[in-house]
Amino acid sequence: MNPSDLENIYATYSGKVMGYLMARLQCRADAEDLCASVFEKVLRKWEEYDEEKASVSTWIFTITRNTVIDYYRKTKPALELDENIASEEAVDDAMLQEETLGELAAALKKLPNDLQTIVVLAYYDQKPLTEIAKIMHLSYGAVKLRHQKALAMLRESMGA
Amino acid sequence: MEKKLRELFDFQKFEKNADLQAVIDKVHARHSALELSDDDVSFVAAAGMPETALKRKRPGEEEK
Repeated sequence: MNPSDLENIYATYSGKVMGYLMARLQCRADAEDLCASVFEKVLRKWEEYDEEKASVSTWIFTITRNTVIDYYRKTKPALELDENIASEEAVDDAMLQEETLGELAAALKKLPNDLQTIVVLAYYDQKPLTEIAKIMHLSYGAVKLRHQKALAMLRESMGA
Repeated sequence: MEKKLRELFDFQKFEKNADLQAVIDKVHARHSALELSDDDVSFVAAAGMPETALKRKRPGEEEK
């Protein structure tokens, strides 16, 4: 990779990488350190990148996500990693595309507000259903049922 | 489906698709409207009567 390629990649993706790191770590200093680490890996692994397997965006996201997982393993080994970041399975590159995010948006818009709320709070904000129940002033049982209904509707919309 | 949603929402924190972000922001706005901000809380006295928390002007006292 020549310096101007790296410069272009940094200019294009540093905002996204920092945005993700801040959302995960909530600490700017750590996020900046990890951001530097991500781009060092991008530079080091560039020769291995295969555009037929994944877009550049998905590839850099995968590196970023794995960097966060490694960071948590080193700094908080006693902490049980949440399922979202602990998985060692390869990220499904085919699914992680801008297009699929658009499909998810369209599917969510079809849901009634309460079901939309449960999905966003559970999967974006990663809140447990017990906390969502308090936020929505509903019983845990009611939220659990609505959660299942939301998943069924999304499965139908997205063909999952 | 749950794994797919977790992966997609995690990817959203990176990619920030505008359509999906608009849905997320609407949900957050709906629920933050139900919660008092710290500033709002400071105007609510323990008895729950907002006006008691405001400084009362004494007779003859000029407003600052």
